[in-house]
Amino acid sequence: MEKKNQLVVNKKQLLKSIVIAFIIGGLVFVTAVLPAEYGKDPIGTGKFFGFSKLYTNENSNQLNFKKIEFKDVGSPSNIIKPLEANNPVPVKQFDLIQDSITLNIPAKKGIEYKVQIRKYGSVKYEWHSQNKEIVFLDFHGEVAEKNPPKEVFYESYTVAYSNNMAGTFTAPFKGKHGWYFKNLSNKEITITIKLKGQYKLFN
Amino acid sequence: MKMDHKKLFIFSLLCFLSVSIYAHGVDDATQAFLLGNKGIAFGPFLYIGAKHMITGYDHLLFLIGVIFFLYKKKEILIYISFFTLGHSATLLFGVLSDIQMNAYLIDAIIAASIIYKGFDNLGGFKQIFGKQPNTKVAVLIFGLFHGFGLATKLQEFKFDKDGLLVNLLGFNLGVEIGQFLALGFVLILFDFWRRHNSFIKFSKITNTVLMAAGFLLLAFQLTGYFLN
Repeated sequence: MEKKNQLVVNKKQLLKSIVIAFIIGGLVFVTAVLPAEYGKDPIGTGKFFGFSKLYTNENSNQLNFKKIEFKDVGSPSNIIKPLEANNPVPVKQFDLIQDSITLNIPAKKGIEYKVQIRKYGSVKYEWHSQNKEIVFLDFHGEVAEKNPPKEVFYESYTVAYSNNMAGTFTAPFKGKHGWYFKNLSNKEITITIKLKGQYKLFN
Repeated sequence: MKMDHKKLFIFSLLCFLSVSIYAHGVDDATQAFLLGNKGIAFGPFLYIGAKHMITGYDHLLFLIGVIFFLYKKKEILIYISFFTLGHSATLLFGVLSDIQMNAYLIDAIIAASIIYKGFDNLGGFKQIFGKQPNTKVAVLIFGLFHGFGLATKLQEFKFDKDGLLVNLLGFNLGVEIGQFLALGFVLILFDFWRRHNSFIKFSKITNTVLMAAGFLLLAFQLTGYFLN
């Protein structure tokens, strides 16, 4: 009654099929899937064919970072704000300039980039990571002091996880203002900062 | 029957256009919805279920294996019913009783089910073990695991528990609709292919490729399990 068009395969052919299936599956896995999905490249095919480029570290793509709280903002409360912060506004600000700065942040490392801005100097900024990787950042400033202590006071303007940000910044005091970027991934991240306003670069 | 061909063609074309196999799991937009959703949302969950099934290549590969040598509509219906029964039971049970399973291990078992079916289609059990296990029971059991896989996928997102049952039923119904659409498409292709001798001629290769895909997915999931 049940006329099945089952194929007839003998034992030898069957074993051959299994071995072939195993080899094909394994080969595709090692050459392509492993480099592209897990960033592991045991025989170098990921680099050769470019599959490795598809791998993105989970840290850089997911927004499951730890919550940022008051205690993460600025220097510890036992460090008092220097009196120099109350200095009068200067008559003249730095000349209006613009720059584009590229930073390479090594894997798992942090980098600071700061510029000089006088009190109430205004600077427009924008920054982004090249491949949209998310980094930890602390946009902050240090008051210019005659005799800075070991542990300097700093004020955080923005602490966040992001891959891009832009805005206008008016300095609350004369000093160094800029960003601390922390690369959370296992790969180098390139960040480009654009600035336009009343500031001066450190050279 | 003749007149139906045109309809079938359009249907299959629509199926094909709607199938964009890019990733298994739940994509970013869906994830955003799941996380932000409050209360009853039958329609969206239905859609997510259907989409998950149509883009879920592991479920589809297993089903292709299951229906590969099924020629009668009645038989196909019986096997698919067993599969549906299995995965619906564990999907509902898993989510409602909040059973958390490791997604990699469940998906590894699903991958193993693909290898099993390819092996079975090649007559492997008769050849090597001299005995054919009950294929209907096997489909039911693997259906149970596929259901746990679906449950785990849905649970990965801590979505609102308000209206959970209705949403869950929507998701489940969506899964069946997705399965129906995908299977319809596969069956139409098989229907044409089976009229040619190449079907039997290539069936050995096809099932070997099926097993290869199973091995690949198994390695993929196990690696994921051990790395995380």
